[in-house]
Amino acid sequence: MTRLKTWIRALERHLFDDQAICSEDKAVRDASWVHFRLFELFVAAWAIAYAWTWGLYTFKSSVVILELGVANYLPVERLFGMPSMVIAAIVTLGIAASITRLSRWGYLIAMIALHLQYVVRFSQGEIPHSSNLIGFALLALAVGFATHKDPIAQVRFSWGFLWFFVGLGYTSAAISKLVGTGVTWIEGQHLVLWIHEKAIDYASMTGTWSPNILQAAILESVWVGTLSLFIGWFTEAIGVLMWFRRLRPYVILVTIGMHFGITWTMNIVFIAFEMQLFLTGFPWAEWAAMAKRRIYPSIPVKEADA
Amino acid sequence: MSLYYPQQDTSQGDVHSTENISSRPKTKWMWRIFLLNLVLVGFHLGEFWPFSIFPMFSKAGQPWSRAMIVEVPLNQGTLDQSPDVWEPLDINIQALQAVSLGERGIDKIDFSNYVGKTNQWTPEVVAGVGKMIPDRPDFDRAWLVLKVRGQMTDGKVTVQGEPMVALTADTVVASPTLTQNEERP
Repeated sequence: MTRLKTWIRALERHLFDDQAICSEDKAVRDASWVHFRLFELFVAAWAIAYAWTWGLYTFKSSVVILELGVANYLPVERLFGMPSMVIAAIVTLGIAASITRLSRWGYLIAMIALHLQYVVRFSQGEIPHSSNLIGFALLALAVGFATHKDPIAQVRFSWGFLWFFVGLGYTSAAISKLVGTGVTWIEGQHLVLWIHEKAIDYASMTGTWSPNILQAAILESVWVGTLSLFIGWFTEAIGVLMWFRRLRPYVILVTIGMHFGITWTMNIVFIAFEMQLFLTGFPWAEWAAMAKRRIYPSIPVKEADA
Repeated sequence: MSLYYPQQDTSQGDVHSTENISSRPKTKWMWRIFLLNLVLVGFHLGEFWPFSIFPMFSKAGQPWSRAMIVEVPLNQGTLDQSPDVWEPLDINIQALQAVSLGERGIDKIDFSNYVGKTNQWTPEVVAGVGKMIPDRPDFDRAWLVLKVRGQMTDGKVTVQGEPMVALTADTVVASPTLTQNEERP
């Protein structure tokens, strides 16, 4: 038990203390505020876009085929159409209230409303995961702002919380594959079968499909497929290493590479995932401070030096 | 007040210091939400947005079903003279050609669900396919709505298309196989 507590404390230090905003370098701290505000704007833009596009889609829906989340307990078919526009407006106003610092509770209200919008929109049978990272980001802001008054604590909690759930999500995906199929999941023929499925989807949508170089190589040799699946699975499995700041940029780089690999093999585009990983996964504040110092060499590193 | 930089309370020392108690995050909230995550995905089949066990592609090698429309020529311009159009097609994905659903504003997943999940091909359901597709082929051609099934057998992938409905310049007709099944008691 004591060892578990020690591990938890160590993990918390990596997630919540080892951050740019805790740096002794004022230039890094200043840049980390700009970085956080850009992150908030990014999350706000995607969450608001999701809220309205999901809401508009519900005008086509008439029956609930799949009950997700709170749809298990609420008659969400009553929220199709105009009520979903009200939900989208609540998401927008909630985010606006928190991003302008008028209220700490806006993000939480927006988060609850966006969950509701998701279950209303995706009551038609499909369960997409393309919006989950934005969901984690909004949840991080929601809990971070609702439970903390101090601005620095809000930032530190939001980043730590976000990395914990993003890393856990990727590793969870790797574990799901082991549970769902076992170690044979990486067999190249499985990827060949998925490429065929996505080829039919793509041709059905656009009228034509022909394999790119990577797809042709996988269709030609089962070993290329096995190698591709192994690399993909391994990349997901090491997702929890995102918890550690020093390893994060490298893990993020291979994770972005994995998403591009999925796009090239199965024509599935992860634009929100890739943008979010790119924006949040690299030490932008340190790089910005370094660049600023090159332009203005007189900037001191530590406050004491000032 | 700046929106991105907090006002500094000098009475408490350096607001950026990790030693400052007020700026220390309440980590217990992360663990509470983590436990909530476990409970929610545990009782909701692994999905409670944004929480998920991320099960996509976890079951490898499973057969799948999709839908696609292909164009075929007709003998003497009629379906009656072209009974072979209803034969199942082996599909080679190396050079796929299809009638684009995207150009017609049809969602491919909705279309696949309509074709793949229909068990009773009543005249209304067949007419529904005709309603979804706004235009028609030339008079000597037919558009075949295929239910496409892919599977892995003995390590080999096979993809076969079963014609369900044919659209010609002036008709929308269900496959004779489907109508025979409907008429069977």
